[in-house]
Amino acid sequence: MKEIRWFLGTIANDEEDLRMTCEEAVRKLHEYLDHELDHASAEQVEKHLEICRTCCDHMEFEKHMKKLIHQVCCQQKAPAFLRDKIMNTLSSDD
Amino acid sequence: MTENRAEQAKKKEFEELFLPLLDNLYSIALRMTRNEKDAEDLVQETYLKAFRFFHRFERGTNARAWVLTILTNTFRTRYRKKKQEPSMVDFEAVENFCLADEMVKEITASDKSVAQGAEIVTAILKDYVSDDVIEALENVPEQFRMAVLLSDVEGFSYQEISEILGISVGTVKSRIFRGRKILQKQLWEFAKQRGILKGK
Repeated sequence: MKEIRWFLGTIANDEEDLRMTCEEAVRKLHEYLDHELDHASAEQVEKHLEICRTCCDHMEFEKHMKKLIHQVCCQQKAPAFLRDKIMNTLSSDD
Repeated sequence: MTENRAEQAKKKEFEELFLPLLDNLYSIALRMTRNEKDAEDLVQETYLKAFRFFHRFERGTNARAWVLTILTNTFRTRYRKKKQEPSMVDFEAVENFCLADEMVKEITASDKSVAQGAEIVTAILKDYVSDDVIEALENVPEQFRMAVLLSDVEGFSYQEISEILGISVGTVKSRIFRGRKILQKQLWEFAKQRGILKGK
């Protein structure tokens, strides 16, 4: 009896996982990539990604975009004179 | 300790904590002000304010978040009206926009045999030069751009961004989502204008 209940529970859980539609997955994608989802929601998204190629591609693309923005913005360093200028300003502000 | 020595110790502590963050501050300032001169002024003013209010900084808390809060407030009060903002965005139109989908649609419309999926779109993304991405980013309205930068460049959590910008976590989430969509829409316009998709 215990085994049957476990088995039925497994089916119910699987159905719940599959119930996440592409629309729901896409809506949660950004939060998933930003590590903002709780464990259960993240797991649901991951299960959907495992069975949905389109959403998986979508996720890869968004991940790539995020990296691209990071790389492009971090390329330009502050000019060396700015550091000296700031230190001088702090000294004169004493 | 004399007053002078106390001041020197304060300055030394300040420099050790905040000067290593100069590049972080500058990259955010540059993308927000959209020009080097204003970015330098904004960063300098931020450091000066941070130094004046250093006694309010709680030791052991996040120095980067604290100084970026000063930078964003300074930007909001001083620099935001200086340069005309791009025209307002139709949020309804961008809400469901996905650059990847548009690219795959465009490519497969001309060549049915072409491989679909993330690989081809990722390959196309490589054709954008840094200047395209910067221009697209700078065309994103300020409030959305700031949220995207704090998340994607600085890696702050939504909670941290909400504290830096003084807005709710829900608003942070929606600004990041919309900001990224607006950016993708811009990149799509560039792709069409510059023929990036041709020959794919």
